[in-house]
Amino acid sequence: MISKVLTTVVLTGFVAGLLLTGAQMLQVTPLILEAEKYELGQIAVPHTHASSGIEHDHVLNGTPLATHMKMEELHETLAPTHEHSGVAHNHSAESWAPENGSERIFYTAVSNIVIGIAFSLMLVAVYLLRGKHVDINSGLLWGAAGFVVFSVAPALGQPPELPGMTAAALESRHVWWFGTVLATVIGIGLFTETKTIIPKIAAVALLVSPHIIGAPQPHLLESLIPAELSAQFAVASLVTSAFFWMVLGAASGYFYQKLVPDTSESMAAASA
Amino acid sequence: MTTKTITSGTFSTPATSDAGVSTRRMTAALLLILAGLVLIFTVGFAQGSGGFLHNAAHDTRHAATFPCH
Repeated sequence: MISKVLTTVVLTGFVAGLLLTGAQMLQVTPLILEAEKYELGQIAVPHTHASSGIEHDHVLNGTPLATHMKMEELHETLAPTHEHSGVAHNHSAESWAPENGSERIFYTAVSNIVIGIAFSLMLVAVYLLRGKHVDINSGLLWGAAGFVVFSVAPALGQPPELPGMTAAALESRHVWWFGTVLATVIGIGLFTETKTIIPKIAAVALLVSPHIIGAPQPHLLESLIPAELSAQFAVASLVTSAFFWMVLGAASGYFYQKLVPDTSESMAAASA
Repeated sequence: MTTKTITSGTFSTPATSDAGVSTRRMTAALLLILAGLVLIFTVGFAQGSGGFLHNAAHDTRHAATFPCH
């Protein structure tokens, strides 16, 4: 059984990951590339906060923004062919990053396939736990549940971010993201699998608790990125995620029905 | 569990919960969840040496609503 389950998972991951890569090319990736121009200072949004009298530190990728700016100034005085190799942040040439173009698309496709496999592992685990019949239609519904758990719930507190947007410390956002996913998954499971009122109330409490606690927010909401770009990206990213989860759900349901023997059937055979 | 018609047209006997199959199913499901968590951590959260994992999975993280920077 396990090899057929794994085949289902891998096939689903490949189909969903590759289709996601195609879907990303439409809006998500172009918006990321556009935002990176602002992040790297190739384009600057007019800065108005200086007159506000609020004192604060800008931090970009863990390095004070002032350092980035100094590097920018340095670059301007250097030969025009000089690149941003000296800037100490994650996108610098000090650490490897795929070249824009086919290499970057390749690595994105690989990561998409891996995350597709990861999410389809979760979906198929749910199918196994429930032990009920699954097909392409019920798979789609499970995909919708996955979208709510892994995209909608975290996005309520932490909208999909573009490079260069200000945000609270990464670790605290990781913790909130994971806690929200966990609370949402338990909440939905408790709500759908129980029939009495008390567990359902507990489920609703679990579902809303991360949003009452609230996601970690930056001290000052400022961005290197124009608001229009961020808004476009939030929508594009969520719609693309919805598409990804639809494919994940439908494909996992389809392959599960085709490959994994119906659980109630195999249970009957085993008990016969 | 109630008797249920299987799509292939065969009939299942009333499936009295078979502990062996059920446990095997639960173990498999838990292993899948564990493997899924490891992969989600790798693609979504880990930085890797010199930011390798971050940079390779950069666009996936931004697209899939993972906190990235």
